[in-house]
This record gives sequence, C-alpha cells and structure tokens, in this order.
Amino acid sequence: MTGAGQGIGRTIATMLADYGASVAVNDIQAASAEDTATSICVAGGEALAVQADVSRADDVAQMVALITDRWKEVDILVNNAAYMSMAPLLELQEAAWDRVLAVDLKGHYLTCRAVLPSMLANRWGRIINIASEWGITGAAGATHYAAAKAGVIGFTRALALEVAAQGVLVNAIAPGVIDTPQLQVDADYAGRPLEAMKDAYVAHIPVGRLGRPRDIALTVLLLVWESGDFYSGQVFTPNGGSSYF
Amino acid sequence: MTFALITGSGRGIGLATARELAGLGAGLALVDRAFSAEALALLSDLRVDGRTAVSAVIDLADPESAVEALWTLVDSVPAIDVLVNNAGWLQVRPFLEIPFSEWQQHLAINLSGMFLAAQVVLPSMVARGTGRIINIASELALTGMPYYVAYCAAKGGVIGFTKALAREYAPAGIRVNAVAPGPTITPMLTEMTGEYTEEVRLSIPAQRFGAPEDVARTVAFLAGPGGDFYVGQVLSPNGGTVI
Repeated sequence: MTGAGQGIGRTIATMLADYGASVAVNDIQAASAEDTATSICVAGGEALAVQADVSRADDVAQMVALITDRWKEVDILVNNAAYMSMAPLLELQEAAWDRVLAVDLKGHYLTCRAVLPSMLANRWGRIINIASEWGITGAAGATHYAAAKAGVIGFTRALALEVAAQGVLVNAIAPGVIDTPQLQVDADYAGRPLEAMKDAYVAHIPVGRLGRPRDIALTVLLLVWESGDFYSGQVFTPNGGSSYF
Repeated sequence: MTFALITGSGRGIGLATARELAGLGAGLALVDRAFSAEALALLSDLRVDGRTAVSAVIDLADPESAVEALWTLVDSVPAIDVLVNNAGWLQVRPFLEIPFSEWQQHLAINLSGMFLAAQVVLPSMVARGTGRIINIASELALTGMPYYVAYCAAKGGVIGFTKALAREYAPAGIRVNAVAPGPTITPMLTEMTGEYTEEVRLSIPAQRFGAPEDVARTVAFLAGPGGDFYVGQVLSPNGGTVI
C-alpha cells in the first residue's frame, strides 16, 4: 500500500487491515507511514511501516525485501503514492515534469516489477493502480499529472493482458474529486482558500459532495475479494458524476 | 431491511443476483415470464425465514399489462430500495434477415422494459431521497458483434439511458449505474449460441468464462455503500476481453 501516510492511501490501508489483511504501509515520509501503521496495530490489525520513495528502484527493492522478510510475499499491491503540482505548460519546469512522471507513473512500474515474480509463482495476485479522472479528461495546469495518470491507465491495460492468464488481475481506479490534503494544490493554483475551492468543486458534482477516501477504498475491496475475480484491465471511475463520461 | 426488485430473475444472472442480495439480507420481488424451480425454491426458503420474498409473472414486452402488473406488485411489497433491470432477450441472426418485429422485440425487452420498471419504482425512491438502480447491459454494447445488431443496439441504449437517468436523479440521492457483463455462461446464451468453446475460452485473458455470480457480486457492490460515488458508470467484469 504505497502512499499510505494520509488521505486515500491511509484509508485503504486501514480498511484492508480491518478485513484481515496484513498491510505494509509505505510513504515517502517515515513518520506518516509509522503513524498509519501504529493506528492499524492499535486497532488490533497487522501492519508494518516501510518508508520508500517509489520513484527510486533501490528504495523499492529495499522496501519489498523488508516486507517479504516479515510476510514472505505480497499478494495485493495498491499503487496509490502520488505527487502533484500544478502550473501552466509554459511555466512547467522540466524538474517538475520529471518528478511527477517518476512518482506517479514510473513508481507503478518499479513496484509491480518488484512484487510480480511471487504473484506469478503463486498464480494469484491483485494489483490496483490509482490513476485519476484527470488522466481521462485532462485539466488545465496539470499536463504532467494528466500525462502520468493517463499513462497509469495504459500501463494497467498492457500489464493486465500480460499476466491475467497467470491469475494476476491488474485494474485501475480513476477517482474524481476526493476530500484529501492534495486539494491544497488545486486551491493554491486557483488562488483560493481551500474551503472555497472545495465549495467550487461541489457545485459541479451532481451527488452534492466531494468524494471521501472510503469511496475509493470500497472499490479496492471489490477488487481484492471474490467479487473482483473477473475484472482485468478495467478502469473504475467513482466521481459523483463530475465527469462528462 | 433492503428490498430489491429484480427483473429477469427466473434464471441466470437475475437469479444469481437474487441469491446474492438475499444473502446480504435483502427482501425480494422477482419478475420474469417464467421461474425456474431454483428461483421458486429460493423464495420459499426465504419466506420460511420470515423474509418478504415474492414473484410475479410479467411480460415486459407488453407495456400496458406490464405497467399495471408492476404497480400491483410494487404496491404489495415494502418500498423498493434497489431495482435491478436485468431482463434480457437475444436472437442471433444476420442483419438483413432480421424482421422488424424481432428488432422491436429486442428493444421492448432489453431497453423499454427498463424504462417501464424505472418509471414505476422511482417516485417512491424520490420521496424517500434514496435508491439504487442497476441496469444490466453487455460488453457487446461497447464493441458490437456480427449477427447481434438488434441486441447491441438495445444494450447500447441501456448505457445512454443509464447515464442520462443517473444525471437526472443524482441530486435526489438516487444512484443509477450499469453492469456490462463479459462472456458469461447463462441459460439465455447457452440456448442462443454455440460459442462457449475451448478456443473462445483461451482467447479470454483471464482464461475462463464469466459466471452469473461475477455479475451478481458487482450488482451487490453498486447496490451497497461502495456504489454511492458512482453516477452513470459502466462496470464490466469481462475477464479482460474488453479493455
């Protein structure tokens, strides 16, 4: 469970643990990973905090080694770690482009590569890649983020075709607007206070509310239980109606 | 207790959905033109346990009698929380050999039947500010298929119907979504096509055909808390055949 120190990742990790999974809680910040892991353990679940920058192959290798040391192998991978910044294309620095692509897309390649061998050997695995509605619709100010998230969708489809025959099912979730700390980036870009930004979003969401991390976590549960056994290469789009599709 | 009305639930996907929702505690109103022994046994077992579980023989292809029968049914059971529009019908034939009456029959059962059932069930959902409608489409609506023109047209209509109805009723607290099953082994398909061959199975990325339970579990997901942020979306358990 990458990027599980806060927001959607933390909720997914917590719910997976509630339902009996042993959860390796990754975040780029050790303190947040530990915070999530501790709160899971305090509630009676099993969790291990594993700090790593998923855009770095050596970090990912080290992380997976720690996990397999404790639990032998990884059956479920949720690629949620993401970094977002916003800028119009002409102001978008190369370093910002590279960072977003490295974490949000290359990170999926690196983690999948690390956990796939044992999934294939066991003929059972579930990989869930968190993309974004913006990977389908685009958004002004987010060319790098939209490119990375669209890339996650293409990556998901291709990998799904590669490994479905061996019992590894790969799917993606492209959330709409979810109430998490990442919305601060949107607010800063729009030059608005966070609450005003949220209100502006809600005005365009037919169900009348922002998404909650739990909305995304429930789709993850759909995919890791028996209910997910016939899904391969699909993109799930919980967005409260905010999209045109 | 959640109460579900499921059309086309005499067998196949509809019956599997009935079992799945009943297993989660729902009461049932099942609608079909005929009921298998298994369907009747399910209802009888539920009633023995004190659950409300009824069936009604209704032909959705006849609008006037269908509407009257649906209202009679709905007035006799608890308020409907979940409508599963599953009734489907299929004839496989080269396009130029399709009689107009058969084209109309495809639209009547696969699409108009949903219109009729939703019109009967929605007023109460709106009054209570809550409800779920799940329409069973088909992955073939997304891809097309030779000799399935009438079926694909009707199922494509199901998707447009789903999206528009979803947008109209989302502010009222009602969620409308579709499931587009992949190649699933059901009585309807086994009767109509000889297509469940080993060669076809191996062409499916997941290397197996779908079971009615695969669809039923997705319906249950959309009917439950997990479905609350989905508006007019199409979920397709298809083993990777349509990506």
